[in-house]
Amino acid sequence: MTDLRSDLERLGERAAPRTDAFERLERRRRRKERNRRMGAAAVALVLVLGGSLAAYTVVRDETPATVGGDTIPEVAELTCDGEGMVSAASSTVTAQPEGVHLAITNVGSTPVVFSVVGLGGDGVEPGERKETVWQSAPGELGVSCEAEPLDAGGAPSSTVLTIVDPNGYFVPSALECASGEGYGSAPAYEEGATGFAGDPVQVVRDHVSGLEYDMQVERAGYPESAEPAIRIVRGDTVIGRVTLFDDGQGGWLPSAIEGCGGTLFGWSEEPTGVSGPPGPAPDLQDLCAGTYADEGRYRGTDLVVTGENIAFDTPCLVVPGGEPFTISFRNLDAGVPRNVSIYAMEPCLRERILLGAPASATCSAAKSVYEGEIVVGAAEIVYRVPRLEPGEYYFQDDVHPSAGGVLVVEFTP
Amino acid sequence: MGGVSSTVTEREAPAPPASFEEFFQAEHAHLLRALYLVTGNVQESEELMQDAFLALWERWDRVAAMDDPAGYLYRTAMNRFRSRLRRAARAARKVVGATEGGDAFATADERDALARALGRLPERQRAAIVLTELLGYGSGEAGRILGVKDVTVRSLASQARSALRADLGGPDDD
Repeated sequence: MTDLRSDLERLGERAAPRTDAFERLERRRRRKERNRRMGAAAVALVLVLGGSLAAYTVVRDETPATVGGDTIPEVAELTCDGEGMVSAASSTVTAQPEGVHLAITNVGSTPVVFSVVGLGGDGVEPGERKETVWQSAPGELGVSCEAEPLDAGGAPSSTVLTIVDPNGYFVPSALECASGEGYGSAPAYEEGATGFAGDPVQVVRDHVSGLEYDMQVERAGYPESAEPAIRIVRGDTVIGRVTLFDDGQGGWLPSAIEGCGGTLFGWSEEPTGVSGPPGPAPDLQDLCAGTYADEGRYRGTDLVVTGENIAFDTPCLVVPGGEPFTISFRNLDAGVPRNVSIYAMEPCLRERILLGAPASATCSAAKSVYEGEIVVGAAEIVYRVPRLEPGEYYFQDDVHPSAGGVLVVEFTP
Repeated sequence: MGGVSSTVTEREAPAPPASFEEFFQAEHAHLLRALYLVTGNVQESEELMQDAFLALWERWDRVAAMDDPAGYLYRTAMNRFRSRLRRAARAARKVVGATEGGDAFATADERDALARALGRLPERQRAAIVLTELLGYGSGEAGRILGVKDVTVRSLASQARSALRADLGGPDDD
């Protein structure tokens, strides 16, 4: 009788490590780092083209502060004259807990408009000193000034300030998408819409759907910003960002939700749970890649699912949030009763789908969201499912629970 | 090649590595061999090994402070392996309508009974037997690495041993 371990060791020796293995790894790391930088630049470009104000913060987060010192002013004092010329008393300003303070004084006799590159601007009346706060990362910041009316011709004058952050207030929130692909949405609200009170980080934890067990939700940007930025981190990588604003009644609403490819962050009025198993992160992107690539039967508001051989023909369905949808279920198993039901996602259900856990594994406390009528094959039935909150759900055949998959309800602003 | 017996030695936690390079030098040969046994393909095991080490290198400050960086390394590597399997399975379904078991072990060396027997095992059983038998992980740690419960690891390893015994003609010794 031979020893299995020895046999395995002997067989494994066929894979002899290369003598330059570490050097090869170093080369690959350099290539990956280069690709990542290019990917981050691509994300920024996409957002810029989309007109998002967040775009510049993505770019700017790449520029860390490099200067320290306590003699640098806390407010950047700039002057604009009636001709639209801008000048700064100091080219450097120290970041404050609430952001970067800029004070513009109009020393001319006509109104002027100043712009903070990539972030916005404001008007300043003659003789007025207007102090504003901006959520700009440490690094360089362009400010320009232009006399009104703006269409009078002539190029605006501009200056560049250097923002330093010796106290380390600023926490970067730029997306670091490994694939270079990101998405963003800016929800529109009715007048008087109300948000949720409390710690902004907790509000995001409670109301952003798509969070998984291994994601950290952290305050980012400047700690006392009037518009808190909350970042979502997996490992050391920023994979999502939510920017909140005050609804005027003490509640927080999202002004922007951004994420890397493979995540599905959305906003839910109902408190959401954190999904995922207590183990390695499954790869939902892999499971649903085919569904996302195809706008056909498995994605949209009119789904078509075929059941055959006590299985479904897809492991992943994707529907838009906030809309009812239909599932045309074709049961091809002659004489076999089957259905499609939908449940709230639970870690063990997720494990069952994504990690191939045994079909016999029981998942308790699964909350039923929709129960489809059982039909005996061969037959077809159309289920009309009411709107669901964005997030992950589990669909299964209640008669044969080994048949199941993930239903993703997307966030749609 | 004879039969199969189980000789499990619990893996001892090594001393904390001083640097990433030291950790790499200490672990990469073990990981490469384990991945080869799981994948049956030298090239793929090298790629998976590099993927896993790169992932650790990027967060080395935190990994180095862990109780068992090697355990985290194997968990990362097995995660990547499973992701590749899923991609491969989908690609196969798209092409032929059903998943085919395209494993290098099955054809790599017709003379080697163990290689062929391993090649016939489902991937999860193969991973379970490599982690518990070759690397000496307990079922709890192996479960964390594979993302399944420890009882599942024991079941997978037991099924693997039974299948290997049947293939290699060894005695029943469970």
